[in-house]
Amino acid sequence: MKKIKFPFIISLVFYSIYKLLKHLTDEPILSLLIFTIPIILLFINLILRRRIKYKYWFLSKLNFYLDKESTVITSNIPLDLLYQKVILVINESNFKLIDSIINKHQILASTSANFWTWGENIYVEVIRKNDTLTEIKITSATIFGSYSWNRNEKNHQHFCQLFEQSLTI
Amino acid sequence: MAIIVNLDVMLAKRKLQLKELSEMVGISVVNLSILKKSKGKAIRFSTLNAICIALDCQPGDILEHIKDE
Repeated sequence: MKKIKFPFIISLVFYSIYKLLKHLTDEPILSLLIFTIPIILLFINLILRRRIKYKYWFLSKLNFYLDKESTVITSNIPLDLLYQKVILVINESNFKLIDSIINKHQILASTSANFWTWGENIYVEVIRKNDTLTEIKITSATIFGSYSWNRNEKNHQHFCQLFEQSLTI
Repeated sequence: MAIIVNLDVMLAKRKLQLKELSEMVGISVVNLSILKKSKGKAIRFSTLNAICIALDCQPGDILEHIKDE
């Protein structure tokens, strides 16, 4: 395991406390609370994940229960052209284009859910740094879970690889 | 050393729009725009071949090598 995030340890501690309390008190309401709160959170996240306007909910530092990671690619392609190029790259990849804001040059894509994961949201923002340099900021965030099991890193690698390959025309 | 893509010059000579060339060669306008601005990393022989056929020209008409100052 490359790194264990702090929230992951918190989750383990809470789970241990729950098991300990259950063992000591045998209170049924406790187990109900412990399991309904995460399930409600999961449903909220599954509903909100489809819209880019809820980006800050997923990327907020206060939302410690989600694991998110960012990476930046620099390019010399002009802003508008690069934005269209990123959309083209996403459309030709395994990522699913969900939502976009053209005037803010923001894109929301996602990976599909499977047995191991609910899928991750990929937030892409194209930013002009100066006259010649443009940046693509990619943030991969889990839908549920404080540890992504390296899926965020894999999403970054996959996107960067696709983008590099797409520059061979 | 720099390779300059003179696609805009050839398009002007043939009086074609980028969109028309895109339809002729089957490459997206976005990718042709990147190529036109010389911002691509590499060009495939198949792409070069398709552009040469569409514009009825030689690879040398599209690509130009410029020495560093």
